[in-house]
Amino acid sequence: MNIIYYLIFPGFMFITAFSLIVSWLDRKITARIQWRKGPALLQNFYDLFKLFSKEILIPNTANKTLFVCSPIVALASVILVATILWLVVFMPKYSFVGDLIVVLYLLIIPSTMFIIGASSSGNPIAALGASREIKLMLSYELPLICAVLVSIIKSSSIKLIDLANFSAFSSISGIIALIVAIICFQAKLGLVPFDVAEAETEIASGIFIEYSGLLLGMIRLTRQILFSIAPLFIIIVFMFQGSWLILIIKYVLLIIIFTLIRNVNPRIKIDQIIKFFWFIIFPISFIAVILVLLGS
Amino acid sequence: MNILKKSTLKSLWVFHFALSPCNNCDIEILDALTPRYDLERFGIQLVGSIRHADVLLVTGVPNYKNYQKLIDLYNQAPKPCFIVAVGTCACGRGVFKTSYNSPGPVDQYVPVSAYIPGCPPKPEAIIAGVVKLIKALSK
Repeated sequence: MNIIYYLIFPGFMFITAFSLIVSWLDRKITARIQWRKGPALLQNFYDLFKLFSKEILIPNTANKTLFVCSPIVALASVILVATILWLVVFMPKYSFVGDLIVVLYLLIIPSTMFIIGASSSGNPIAALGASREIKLMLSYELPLICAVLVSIIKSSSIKLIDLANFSAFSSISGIIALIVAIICFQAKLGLVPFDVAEAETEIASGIFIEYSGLLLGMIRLTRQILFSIAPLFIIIVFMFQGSWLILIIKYVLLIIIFTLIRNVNPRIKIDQIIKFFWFIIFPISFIAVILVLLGS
Repeated sequence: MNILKKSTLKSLWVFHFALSPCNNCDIEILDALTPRYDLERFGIQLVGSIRHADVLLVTGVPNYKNYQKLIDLYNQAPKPCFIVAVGTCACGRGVFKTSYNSPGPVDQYVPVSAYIPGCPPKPEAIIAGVVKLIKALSK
């Protein structure tokens, strides 16, 4: 039964189709902001099938096992996160003690695997991208944990379903934590202004420069699934309240917020990112934790 | 037409390689990718790495310094990879036909799928050339 959950309904098949549609929404909103017509509804499916039909090239300088395995592990872990989160929404009885911790750990694995894959490719530009991705991870992880900590303290539980039933959004500390979480996920998804690790015009796709064909398709799918579950995670942790219609509106609103931030900001440098997260975002999230301990 | 071939034609990712041209063709290519012409509605987008590309846009005349780079770049691209020669120089070397520092035209070194003449070609001409390429490939 668990394998069906993982592979078919809230898992691989469902989440693939769903995340491709969500990414189409992102591209379409971007196109409308730039006053264009935008891609077709099935554009992401075409991209994915095309990448599956192309040749896979592995550089001679690469460590072949790591280079091939890292996208597979990234995709598998992100599908597992998606399955756990969607099961909380559809079948709350499958929520287990500590699944929040599992989700937080699994959300780190894609970035780690991209770093390993880039480092094993033997390309100097990929190594540059990998070093930037490491610094990016060091910047956003701590504020994100602090933001989630607010919700944990409020509901005094580490089960996702308890967090969902409590809804931390209804207080000052909850609102601060929500804003911090949105900014941290913007960095986690590698969207502009935090896309230094791939920076197409600057270091030519950075960490993904050597990937082609099926492996590139898996990386793109991983990132698209991550993009579709980031709003879901934020909703479950901070504001899982209201009817189905309100939840869907919240989900679409969060996607529009991510897309708007992506479209109205320029890319900032890695030292600016570290300063921004360590000296502005982390103190704010820490204040939120103190506020929630004081009881507001 | 099977689905894999259809999706290849619906999402052509472009890598831009300039063989030391006068930059006019490059400016027109960038023009064609701006929101005004909106090539994303046909699934065309510019990518940063040759490993991601389906189409290699070549501009300019090969010279002794860079014709080997062109061959290397074509060998590094995952197949199928189509080459489009943009501008008169890339199509047939134009006024540089008898130049002392040019060993030969682009199609002497790599197989070219489509030629878009013009000095420089307008963005509309580039889009028309890509549409002709898609039509020819879909047969």
